[in-house]
Amino acid sequence: MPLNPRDQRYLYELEAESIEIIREVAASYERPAILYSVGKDSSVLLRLAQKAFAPGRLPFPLIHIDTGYKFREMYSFRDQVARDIGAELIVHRNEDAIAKGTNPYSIGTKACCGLLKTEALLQVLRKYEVDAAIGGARRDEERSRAKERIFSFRDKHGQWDPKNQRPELWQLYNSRVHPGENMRVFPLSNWTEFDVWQYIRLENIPIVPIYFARERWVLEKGKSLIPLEDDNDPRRQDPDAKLVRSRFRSLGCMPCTGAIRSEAQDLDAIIDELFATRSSERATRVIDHDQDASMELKKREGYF
Amino acid sequence: MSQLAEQASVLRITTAGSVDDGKSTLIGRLLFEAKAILDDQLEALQKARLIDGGIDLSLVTDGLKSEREQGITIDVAYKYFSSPKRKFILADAPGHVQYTRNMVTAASRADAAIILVDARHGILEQTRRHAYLVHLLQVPHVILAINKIDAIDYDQGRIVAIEQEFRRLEWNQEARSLHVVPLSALRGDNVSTRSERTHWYSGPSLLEILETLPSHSPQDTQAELPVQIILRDSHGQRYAAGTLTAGSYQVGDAVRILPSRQESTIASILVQGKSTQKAVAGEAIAIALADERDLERGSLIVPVNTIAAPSQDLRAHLVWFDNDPFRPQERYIIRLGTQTARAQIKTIAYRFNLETLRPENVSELHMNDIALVDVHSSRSLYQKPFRQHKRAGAFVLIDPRSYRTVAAGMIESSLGDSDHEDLQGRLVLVDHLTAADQLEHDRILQFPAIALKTSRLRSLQQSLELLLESGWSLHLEKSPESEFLAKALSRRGIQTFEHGLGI
Repeated sequence: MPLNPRDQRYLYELEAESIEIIREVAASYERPAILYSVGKDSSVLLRLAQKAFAPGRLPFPLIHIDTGYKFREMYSFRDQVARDIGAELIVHRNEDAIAKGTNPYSIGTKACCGLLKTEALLQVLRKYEVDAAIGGARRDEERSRAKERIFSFRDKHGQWDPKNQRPELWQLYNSRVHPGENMRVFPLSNWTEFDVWQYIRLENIPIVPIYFARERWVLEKGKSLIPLEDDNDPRRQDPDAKLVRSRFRSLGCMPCTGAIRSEAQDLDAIIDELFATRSSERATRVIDHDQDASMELKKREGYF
Repeated sequence: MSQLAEQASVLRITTAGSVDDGKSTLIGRLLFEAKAILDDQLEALQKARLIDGGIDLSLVTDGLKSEREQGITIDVAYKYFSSPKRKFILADAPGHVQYTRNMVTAASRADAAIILVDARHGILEQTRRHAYLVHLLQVPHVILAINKIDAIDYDQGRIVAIEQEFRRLEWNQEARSLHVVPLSALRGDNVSTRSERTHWYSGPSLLEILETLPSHSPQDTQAELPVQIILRDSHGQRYAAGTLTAGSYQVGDAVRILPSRQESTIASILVQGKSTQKAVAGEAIAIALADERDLERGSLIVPVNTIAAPSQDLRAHLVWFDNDPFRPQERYIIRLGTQTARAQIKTIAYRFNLETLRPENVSELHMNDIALVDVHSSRSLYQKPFRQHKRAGAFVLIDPRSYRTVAAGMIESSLGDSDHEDLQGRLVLVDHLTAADQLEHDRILQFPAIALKTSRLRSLQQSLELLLESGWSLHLEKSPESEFLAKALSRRGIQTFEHGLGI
């Protein structure tokens, strides 16, 4: 049985741990950055970072890896948030790959992610000599993440070696890296999806509106609802295309993110829905299922 | 008002036991009954292997692909579940002796340890080892879970005998909180609900025990703020930020800053980025002092009447983590709270043999070894015995070349003032280099200001560090480059001194 939704005291304990981690990054690195993905976890991460440095300002930039396939609402939300909190925003695209027409339809999701996300991330980290990148990943998301450290070491090629991770004891994080190596840091490691939503409600944190249910054009294929958000999408002519009241539970790229049927139009409704729901968060993310243990393999190559 | 109550509602648990004791099945059962396994995950489990037509709950904790191929849990895996009462964070580590370091890691933050035994086999050598480790790591609550009671026909006499033997173990004599629960992870007896098949057992189920344990052990009540970072607001006001590891602070409290021993009072406190009157242990806070004081990462803010004796010499239990054995001459990086220095392992009093569970004399330390050692640090460190205050008594050692975390330490006692020489030279920023400095002391190297690119500075930084470690003092003429170097070196635990002409 899940936790009583009215008991929110425990969230402050998680918050304190996360703030300590974020401060540790600022104290230990020359060029840290926040990997801002625009999703709900990133929204929580930003709020925690603001609290960590209050009354001072956020001491590092936000980096958004843009594949060009994100939802329209994500782009406008991203720019608004950066303006509101006065943060420097670095948007990076793997322009070479985009110019060559990289897309999931012709080369498959695995290769597409490799170029537009993993490779783009490695490019931007190199370009700005980022020595620590803070991300919003959580251990409950996926099972290779369940074993990842909070300070997760990456070698010169950005690769993760799950068999050779540094032991992490107490709250004594080993932040050291040699030039060219870097650290991925995950302050939300111990949060669950449920904790994230509870905290968003408690703190009244703005999130991208597509998390909320409304009527939207989708193509129903088996269990998944493929969004047809673009008004000019030719698939809207497909006889199976229809308007369904739905929302997104986890935000990725448009072609690879399924919607779920939902009536939840506000935070309370989303939390109630989570209580009742019986499937996991990333079930709608195509890229996690393109092969067995696919997240683990992506992470070894440098993916978040 | 402070938001963290005395009894917070997150409980961190670790499990000690091996696959053979049914540990994976027990964790799977806990998660399953807490409804923490969702439909698509269950579906994946159903596609895998079935036991008696039911899903194999032991597969829930199965982690990385490489580990699945080897059929063994190698690393610590974290699992999350909740009951209506609280949130649980479970750190699952393998139980075999060759994975002692993983168990130590998992136990380092645990509020409670579940030690699992197979009712058919009772207390084994492994159980004694687990009891020792849980004691060494000072896990506040110990729960003995006697599993597979279905396999011994719920035999009360057998279970009572196991309990008595366990309670007699020397490692359990000091246990503040010891609970025993007979259960069957396979059948679900006494896991989340009390079983009808153990009518003779009137105690709570495992989950009921976990729900009601206090998550914070009684610790030092004297306030202590290890400074993580200095923040500034838009008016230039400085704030010392960090996690309050013990006690509480209120606006107006008189405090002392260590190591400078300067005094001041607390002018304001921020918790969660908001101004407040009081902060309590566990909260991430920022405080402004009424006066300009020397504050930096690694400083400690304590109540003004605190008697604190820093020490360079510490006696500690050390768990060796690295593939490479320890090097007696090596000056490891030591991290203790937010303090950083260099440290050498001077003597090994004994190694604790994990098979015989007896001390023995050794001259080397290898992976998974646990030993009582004397450590000498390059500068004085503020600390407390681990059993008194975990966050003030725990440290890690980092290899200065590979940067791997090579050992974890738990302080037994400080050995007072030492007559060892300081290992490390001084780094001094000077306005002008003078010939007098050079003449007065040997082993001083002078560096005039010079314009260098960042990449060159980084390699210079490494050379300077080696020189400092070898006992050379360095005088750098002030320039943007030397200040960059001083900043980079301070991140590595090397303190910078400043002096101008004629001082």
